[in-house]
Amino acid sequence: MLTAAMPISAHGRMANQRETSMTNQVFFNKTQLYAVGGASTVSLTITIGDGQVGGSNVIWQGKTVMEGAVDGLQVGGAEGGLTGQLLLCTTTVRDINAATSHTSVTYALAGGSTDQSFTYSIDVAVPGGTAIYAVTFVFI
Amino acid sequence: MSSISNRPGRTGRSRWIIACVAAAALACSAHAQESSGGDVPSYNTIRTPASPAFVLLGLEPSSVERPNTPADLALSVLNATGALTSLPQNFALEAAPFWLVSHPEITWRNDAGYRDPLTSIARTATISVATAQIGTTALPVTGLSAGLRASIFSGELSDSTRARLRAAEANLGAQSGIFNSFLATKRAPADSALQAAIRAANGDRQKIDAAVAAHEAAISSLGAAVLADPAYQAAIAKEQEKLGDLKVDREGFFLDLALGSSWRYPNNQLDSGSALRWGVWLTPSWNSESFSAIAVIRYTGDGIHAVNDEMDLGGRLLYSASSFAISGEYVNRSYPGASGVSSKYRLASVLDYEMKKGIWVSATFGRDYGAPTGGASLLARLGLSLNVATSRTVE
Repeated sequence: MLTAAMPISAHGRMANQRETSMTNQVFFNKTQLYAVGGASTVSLTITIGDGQVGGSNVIWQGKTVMEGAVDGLQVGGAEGGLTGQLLLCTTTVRDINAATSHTSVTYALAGGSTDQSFTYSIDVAVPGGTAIYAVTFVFI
Repeated sequence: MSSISNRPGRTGRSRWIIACVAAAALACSAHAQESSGGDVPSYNTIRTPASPAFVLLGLEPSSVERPNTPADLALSVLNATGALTSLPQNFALEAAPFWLVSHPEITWRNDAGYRDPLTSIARTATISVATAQIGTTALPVTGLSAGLRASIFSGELSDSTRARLRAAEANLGAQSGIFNSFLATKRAPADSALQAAIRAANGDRQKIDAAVAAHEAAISSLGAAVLADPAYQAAIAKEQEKLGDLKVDREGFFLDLALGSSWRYPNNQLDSGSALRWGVWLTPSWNSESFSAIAVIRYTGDGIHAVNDEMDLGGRLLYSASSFAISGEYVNRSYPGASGVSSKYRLASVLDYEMKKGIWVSATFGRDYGAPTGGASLLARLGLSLNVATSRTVE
């Protein structure tokens, strides 16, 4: 089922995204480019906003490299450098803030051409519901 | 805190309930004859009301609009007022202005400690607005009320809540891992196609953007398929069961303020409006996991007859365990606008007992205020409540 809400990024732009609502879960996905320049490693920090709680699973080169809270995770060591590689981040956010149904997740990448933060937002369908963010970073 | 083994067993519990029901049946009958009314002094009545506007109109609306964005708020108001052309009819709205927009910068960790007063007010303020028909068919009168509630101090997250949230991060990480494991094989072709397309694009931004859009569309539909997969749902249900309710408790010092006013509009005419009632509630309290001490300062004014003004000063002590709560309350009520009327007091004790998960029986016994010019009355009631709250509140 497609929901009508259109989440926006913290920077006020409409993000190119799709949402699916299923039972008490909503789903958001995004494929995002990140310029790594000549860097051999980048670091990733994932911040759960709106006073909610969440945990992530990060996959690098087919393997889970972090699960739970992610703060300053170093990613790299790929043969042939980072360019062209995918970093798969899935974050599940549980609504615990009784004042709002907003959820938001900020993915901060550092060490590439520039340090960048990418913030995405979506509302849970029901109080206490969960939101799943599937964000694929493409290193260029 | 009492252990489970110290509580009444099934047989003892049944006897206790039967005794309470019998006692309450007798007491309620006495109350109906002797009392002039008054609310059961439950835990929440001494606190500041969550929605002062509803209290001032004496409403318990079955349907309350709770807009989540500025656009929702505007739509609610426009719908209720016929695009700002009339007074809304039987309308109830509650909103937390600060939370109408998303706040990605606020994490549970950086909101866990004590908040300074300005931060606390911003994060806990709610506004409430209500209208109701309070007249008769012959003389329709619309009642309108508006209220504001905020916590000037709002405590900090309890240690047990912090521990639960840290555990929740690991659990939700595991849930993300389950989602990824179901998605992994399905997404591999889309990921490979994206990588190949970007290599082939050779820096051509248009081609890269097209490949990204195609990848997003593919993951979107694959993700939806995972969510609909019964095997995935079963695996997630297990993790969610481990996570439980995730109740967030703040403890420590609280100072809650609520104020509101109501007006009456005979014949629904805006220019015929007059003040009806107004009220101010101030409740300092100290809350821990099992103990609460609450003081109350409450003034309710009558916009028509000042002799009906009431001022309450009092407090309540409450001890709670996992399946019961016991409390005592004393409130002194004076009538500042009525000369020669002495103050009265209410002294009551309340026992709440959870018969079954989410089903509470509440027994109240004590002495109620009675009418301003009459004697005190017996207060004895038994109530049953289902704790199935799904509405949003601000703490």
